[in-house]
Amino acid sequence: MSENIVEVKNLKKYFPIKSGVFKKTTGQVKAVDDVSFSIKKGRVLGVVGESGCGKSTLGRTMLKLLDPTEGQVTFAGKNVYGMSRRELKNLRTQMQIIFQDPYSSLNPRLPVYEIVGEAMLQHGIVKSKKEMMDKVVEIIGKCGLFPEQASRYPHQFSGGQRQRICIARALAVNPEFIVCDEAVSALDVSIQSQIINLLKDAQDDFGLTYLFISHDLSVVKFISDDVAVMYIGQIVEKGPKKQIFNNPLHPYTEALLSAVPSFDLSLKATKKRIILKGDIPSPAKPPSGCRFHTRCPYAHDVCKTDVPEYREVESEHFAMCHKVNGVF
Amino acid sequence: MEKLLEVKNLKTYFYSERGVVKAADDVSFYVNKGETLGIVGESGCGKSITSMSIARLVETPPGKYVGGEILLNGEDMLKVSDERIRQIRGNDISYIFQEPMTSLNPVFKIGRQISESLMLHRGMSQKEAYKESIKMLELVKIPNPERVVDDYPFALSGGMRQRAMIAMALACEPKLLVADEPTTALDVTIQAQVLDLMNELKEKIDASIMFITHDLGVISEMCDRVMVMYAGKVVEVATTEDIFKNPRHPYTIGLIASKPDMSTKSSRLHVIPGNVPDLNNLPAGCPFSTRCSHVMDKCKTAFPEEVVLDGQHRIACYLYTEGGSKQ
Repeated sequence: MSENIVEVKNLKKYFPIKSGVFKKTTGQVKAVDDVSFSIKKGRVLGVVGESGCGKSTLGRTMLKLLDPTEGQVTFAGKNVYGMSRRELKNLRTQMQIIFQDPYSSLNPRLPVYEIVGEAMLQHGIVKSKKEMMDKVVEIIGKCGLFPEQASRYPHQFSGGQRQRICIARALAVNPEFIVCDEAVSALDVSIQSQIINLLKDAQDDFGLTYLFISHDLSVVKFISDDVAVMYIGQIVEKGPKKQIFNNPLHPYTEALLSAVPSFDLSLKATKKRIILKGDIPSPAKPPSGCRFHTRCPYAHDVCKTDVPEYREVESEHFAMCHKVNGVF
Repeated sequence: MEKLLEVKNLKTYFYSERGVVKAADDVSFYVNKGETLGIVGESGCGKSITSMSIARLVETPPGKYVGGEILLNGEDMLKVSDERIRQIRGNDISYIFQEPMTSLNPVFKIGRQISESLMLHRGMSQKEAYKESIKMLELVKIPNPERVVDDYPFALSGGMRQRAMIAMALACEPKLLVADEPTTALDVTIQAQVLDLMNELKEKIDASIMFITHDLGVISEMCDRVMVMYAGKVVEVATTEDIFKNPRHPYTIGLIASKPDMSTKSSRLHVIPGNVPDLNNLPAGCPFSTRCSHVMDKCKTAFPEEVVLDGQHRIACYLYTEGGSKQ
């Protein structure tokens, strides 16, 4: 087994809810609430969950794009939150992020070579503009764009091509770890597959580690090695992809998997759909005990009062559920 | 099977300074009574414009119905008077759109919005309509309908809003329900609830559904037949089973192969090279010719005539016309 490149310990990110004339803090949205996990070098950890479960906040807080409320993130043995500004700047070359919307995450006033090359100059990866141009052409070539497109502006590209620029920008500084935050969700099916393949190729070529955040389970299943399932700020289950998809432990994972519409007709006959009751509770007022108990088909009284232990049930396969833990 | 809706050679074009956009170009299809027809395609393929044309919802100008017929029970929607089409909308044909927040009026209570069509189309008094609204909310399984009926849209979650939209659309028991990406904005578990509900209600009120989506998984769960569109053209129509088991048009084949499914095993995805063409600047002939791996010379000159195989599998591709390699 290879070493852990990223380790997250008891990470919390709360957003204050402010109200009234004096903007007094009246509550907290616990977007990420006591999350711990690690990612091994060269692997892809998929993070799935429904909207508002905190998966994007998790990715951003890990990179210190958001200040954490509590907890620790170590990257290659170094504490990300204990770094000086300069150290953090250097770290940025190793940790990159690709966002969902390729329209709003590219500066419309900069040509592609500046978007992709700016960081290389900043971080001293290239010494001159000339060298930068050569490097940009090489990188965008790897991402499936032509050299002559380097001088064009974002509006001259389609959504899929823009996402290629975003990927080129992330790859430009030779990172080791990339957070892909719904990186393919805004794209059409035929374009999505091109970008997914590109991300896979980049991973092989550069030995990258990904945190792949998505609400689309089929995409996560395709690209990930390990999968973490989030529900209202917590990881309720995490494990190797095979185990998660073939032998889900947590009732939420089970329901989530069964809810994904599949076009494999042979599967359709055997598949049992689990329809959950009710809506996703607000992370500002998460339910007591197990947060899933309001919708869980197996809920007992103990689920309403006690928080289940997050436990390694099988090797590398974690879950947070009283039923799995054998409480009832 | 009796046809409820028949669309013949519909052409809905948009006229802009940059030229003519043929959003729906020579589109023909039908929907049987009690059937769910899926329309699938990528953004800009004309699926929404086709569905909006049915009740003449496309704004004119810039849009224009250049040609064709839309026959609902034999009556041509493109020829009837403005007054008649207003009677038909909401009464015979109703719509559910993708974004329930923007399609509900934020300043009116849910009850009033459902009541409106009941009062207008079924001549109910305000009181009756209010009671009926509660019943409708109950039908779509909204908890505490007596309370929700007096709520404003912002007080409801996305899934609840979409249920309220469905209640509104079904209030007058339409013959045709057009659902334009009704679950795209919803989370997976909520989507499962809404799809389940739609299937259940369809049986109950015996309506036909036109289901527009880009999600192939949803199509296979919901639809009896599927129509695949590309750049304003219908490229393939077949039963759901046929489309997934035996897709024939190169675009359909590529589309299905490039979508990772829960059962995908290979380590690389199939890729359709290139991009969806700009509707302002379509290639001559078949619009898919620029990305197709089977492209022939004649593909670049004229759009192929439609071929019907096995009785009801319609394909517009030269591979299947006379002299084509798969004929």
